[in-house]
Amino acid sequence: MNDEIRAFVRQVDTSPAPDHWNDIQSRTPREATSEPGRARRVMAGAVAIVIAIAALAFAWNAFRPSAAPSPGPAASTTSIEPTPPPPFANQYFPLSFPEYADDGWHLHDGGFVQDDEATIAWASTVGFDDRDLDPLSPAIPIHTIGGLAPGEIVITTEATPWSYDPSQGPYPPGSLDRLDLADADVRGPEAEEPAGDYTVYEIPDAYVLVRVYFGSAAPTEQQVQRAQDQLDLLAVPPVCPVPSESGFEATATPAEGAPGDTVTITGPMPFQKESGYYDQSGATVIIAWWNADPKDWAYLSSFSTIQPSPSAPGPLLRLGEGGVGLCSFSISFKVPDVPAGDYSVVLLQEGPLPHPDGSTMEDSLVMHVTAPTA
Amino acid sequence: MRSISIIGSPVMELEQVYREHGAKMYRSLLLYTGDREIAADAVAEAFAQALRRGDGIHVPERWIWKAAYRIAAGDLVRRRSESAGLTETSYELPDAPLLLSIAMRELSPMQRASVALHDYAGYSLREVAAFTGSSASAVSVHLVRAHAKLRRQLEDRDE
Repeated sequence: MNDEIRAFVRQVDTSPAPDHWNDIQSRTPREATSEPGRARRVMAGAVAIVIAIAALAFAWNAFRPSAAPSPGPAASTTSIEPTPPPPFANQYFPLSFPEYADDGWHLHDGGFVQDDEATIAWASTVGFDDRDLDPLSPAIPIHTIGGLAPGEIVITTEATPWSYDPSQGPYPPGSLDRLDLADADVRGPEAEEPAGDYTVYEIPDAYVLVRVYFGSAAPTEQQVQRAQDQLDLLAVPPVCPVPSESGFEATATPAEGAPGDTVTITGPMPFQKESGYYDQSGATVIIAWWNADPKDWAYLSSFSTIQPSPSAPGPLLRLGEGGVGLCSFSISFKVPDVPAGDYSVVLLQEGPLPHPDGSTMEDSLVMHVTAPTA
Repeated sequence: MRSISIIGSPVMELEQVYREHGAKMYRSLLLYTGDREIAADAVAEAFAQALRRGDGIHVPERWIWKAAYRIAAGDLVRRRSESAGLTETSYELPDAPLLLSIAMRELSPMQRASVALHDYAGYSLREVAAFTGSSASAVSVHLVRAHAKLRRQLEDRDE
């Protein structure tokens, strides 16, 4: 089906592309004045801090710390310099409801969160009120809940990944257990919620705070089951700090070596499958290929019936495989006996073993081989 | 990994990149922005900035793709703020099938960027993440959601 999507978007090739090369050579690039000046940046930063403090105070008073907005598109200025890292030590992956074909649910999540913030994910059978989607709004969609009609449902989930003890593992304790509405406390609106004739199912003491709002005083069994079916889809991420931009790239140590030297390649995880779920199988491996062409990574898969070719003169070698942890992977190999020069190493991810059902290219890098030491 | 072999002057090298990538970059940006002027200007500006930097760029292709997307993103934000108050921001793919315009318009800007760079231009999740200032996982989520919306459009077309 993805081939069909690719063919679909490639119809843009019917739009003629201009040839501006001659104009480009004589073009004067935009000056740095198109970026905010230093004073303006300082002012913007001060305003941002004031807004952030006000927002935190507001959100804390209302419920809990507000969720951070999703990572936006690229920089809002024309600057092409790398964006400075955020002034927080850690970022964490968000809770989310993976989106499927039109099943009548409207979805929203708050994106990545930082220390002291809550990650949220919502699902609703009615569209969310725009006011609830403001990044500074409370952790539950109060306007949507306030207008809930009989038969309608809003699910809110919330977690604070930074608060988990890493010694208990990268996943929240019990995160593989079902969030079961049969265990929920049933109540009416509380002070922090809008008044109305609706029912709240709240699952207490779970690794995720779950509240389900039904638009009537007595939801039917079918409505509760519908909410449960949607809640079962919630993707709970492992608590792995999110690397900064480009920090997802694999790293070889040492970056160069002579034939016979041992090299270790490490990289961050988790791996998120196309379905939106995180790989919790523990049975995925990283396979390293020497002198493979990254563009042809699909031929390296164990499912491929096409023989891969080396990227450069010399042999194409399967170096070995390494285990994948929830937050990182590591693989070691010895530099093959090849002439000095640069060679590509392609890292293929395949799993779960022993009967893998999928593979993807994790990364590729260039290894420099030096002459053997005398 | 997509480095260009550097032979000759920076101008010659960059012209080679332009000949190889210019049209694809323009159309990818057109998918992202839905604006012919922004797409063409982002390509021209990115190459002009690369020319000004001369041989100080290690991998021109990657640098220019990233620069072009950053420039286009900034121009999109500026266009939105200038058109504040209007009912709808325009999105149009001239000379492309109308259904493609309609389908892409339904996506968020990050979903469009992910589709334009991954599904159209063929870049990996990590490369898309580097170009858009995001993470590979976030790009993956954007793609899943974008594909779901595009599939719905395709199914509607087929019915």
